[in-house]
Amino acid sequence: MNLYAEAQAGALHVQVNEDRIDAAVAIRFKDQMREIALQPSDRVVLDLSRVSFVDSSGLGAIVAVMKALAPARRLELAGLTPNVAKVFRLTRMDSVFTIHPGPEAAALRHGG
Amino acid sequence: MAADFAAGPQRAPAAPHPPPGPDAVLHLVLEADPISVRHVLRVMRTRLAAELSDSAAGSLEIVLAEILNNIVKHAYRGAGGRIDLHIGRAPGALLCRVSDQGCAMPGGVLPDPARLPPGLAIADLPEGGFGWRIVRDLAQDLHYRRDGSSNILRFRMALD
Repeated sequence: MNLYAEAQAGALHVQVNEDRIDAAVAIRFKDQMREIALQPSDRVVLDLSRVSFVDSSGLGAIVAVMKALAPARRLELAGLTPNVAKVFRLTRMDSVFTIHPGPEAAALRHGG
Repeated sequence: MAADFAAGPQRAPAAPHPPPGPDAVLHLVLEADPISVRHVLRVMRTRLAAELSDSAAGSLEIVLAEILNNIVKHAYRGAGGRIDLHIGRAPGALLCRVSDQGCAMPGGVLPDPARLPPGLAIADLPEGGFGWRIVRDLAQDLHYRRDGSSNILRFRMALD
């Protein structure tokens, strides 16, 4: 699974370079995110702008990563595409996560 | 339309199957594993791209992903098997039928999980159990029955 991590203004920015976070890759995603998150930072911003589809397994993996980072660190999301946003809305997870419109907004919020 | 074999070469040979009715849009047969589910969803999106809005196609993809992955994981318990997917046309809606020969739904009924209660602490958030809530919110006329050794799930997807 292709995840690209970069430290940006106090946040660890993780770009998901995959079309899908689904049942086929959910466990791999969770494991790789835990490894990436070993790098210190207050916030971790998960950039989903290249992800067109997340199913309930993928959503569960994203929630698991957030729980693993808490309470010391926060997982924030950026760039939800329409069908991914729909899954977050239906499960009410849109009220649990801080969701930025795009990766630029996520960086500006603290770095600007 | 003849049946499409969407799964990889490892699938079992298909049993004879009655042809879909005149309003059938799609009949796909797949092997019960997560990669075949991915593949069949891609085929569905491609085939129906011309007649569905992005939103309707997206909702159908979400619902089918949950139902098919549930069969992979729970009905066949990861051991594989055959899944049949029929999608037919009705006025303003698609009629879907998914069948498998795995274990029956526990208690003979579809799960109906509660919505996430507001204000939960992060540590208390569930990491699973979202699937049937999503299916129930997006699909209409959801109906499950056990027929001999088969599970048959029917539902309607409104075209928006």
